Amino acid sequence: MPQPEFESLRQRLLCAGIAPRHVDRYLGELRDHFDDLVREKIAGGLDRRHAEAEARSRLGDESVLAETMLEQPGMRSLVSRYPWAAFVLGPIAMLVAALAATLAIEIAVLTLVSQVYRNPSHLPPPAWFITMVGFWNATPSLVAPVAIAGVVYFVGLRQRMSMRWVLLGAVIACTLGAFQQLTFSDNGYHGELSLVSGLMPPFSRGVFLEGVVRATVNLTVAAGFAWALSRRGVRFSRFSGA
Amino acid sequence: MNNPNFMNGVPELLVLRLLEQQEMYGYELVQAIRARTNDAISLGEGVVYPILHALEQQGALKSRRKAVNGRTRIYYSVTAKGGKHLARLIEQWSRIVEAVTRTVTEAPHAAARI
Repeated sequence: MPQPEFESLRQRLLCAGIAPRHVDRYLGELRDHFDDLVREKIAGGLDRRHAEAEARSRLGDESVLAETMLEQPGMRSLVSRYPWAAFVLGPIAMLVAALAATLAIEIAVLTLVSQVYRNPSHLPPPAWFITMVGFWNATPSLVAPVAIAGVVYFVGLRQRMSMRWVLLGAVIACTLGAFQQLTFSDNGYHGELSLVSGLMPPFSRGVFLEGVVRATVNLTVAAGFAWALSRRGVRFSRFSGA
Repeated sequence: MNNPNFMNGVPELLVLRLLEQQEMYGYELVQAIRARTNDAISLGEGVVYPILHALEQQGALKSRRKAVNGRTRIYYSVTAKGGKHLARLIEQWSRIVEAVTRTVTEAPHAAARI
């Protein structure tokens, strides 16, 4: 069977919510089966063109091949069955995980450094170290949200999800992440690590505005990434109800 | 035969029965179905794969990849659960065949009394 026909079957199955791993395996087996049929027909005396036509007919009409797969229970992916979990709860969970991982690594490093610099003379850590920690603190609010938006794009594209779900997931990651602010300060007597959210009490106008700026940056980068994908011909499923 | 009303559950029964006897990959399995049924059952051959995948997901079949003549094939075989499922399907099928046979071979006057 020519490749385009399989490609259209692939699109049809993915858009209907069949898990990509089932689609890949199905198409792989169909290709092998088609090859076997062609060999059988050629061995039986047909030329290649007629052998392929006969093999295509024996394999079955594309709509029948698609319908049979769609009728089987349990073939749909979790993402297509529960898009709200994948594109709403998923980004939130990933943000929490990114924040927890950033904090855990930072606390471990600060504890180690404090052993070196604070004992016994309580010296402040060098300025370059404080600067590095400042950059690291941008991870949960600037780096992780954009990375999570990338994951959301990947999952959405792979499953041919509706653009509205993908955009929702990317916006949730980029905005919620941006309002988390992790700061570290050290005045030479004691260091302080603080985490505040611009969306939770006590509401601070300054923290909120900084969050708005970061959210704008995140959304711009994520939109640029989506634009770059579309320039390469990658399209989300605009009309899918999934 | 390709009438969907008559074919409901038949491919599943044939697949399990043939794979119970011998481990096979898709193409082999379809050829076995054609041979055993003297081509009486004609389906698009590709439709066997969704049935195999669904049976595997239900735990009735297991699969393994095996290289044969330089090509990797996915071989399917029946599990213990699949064996029990097959026994139930055969029992149901036998009851249906018996009932239908009795009905279609019954004398016309006897049928009129029903």
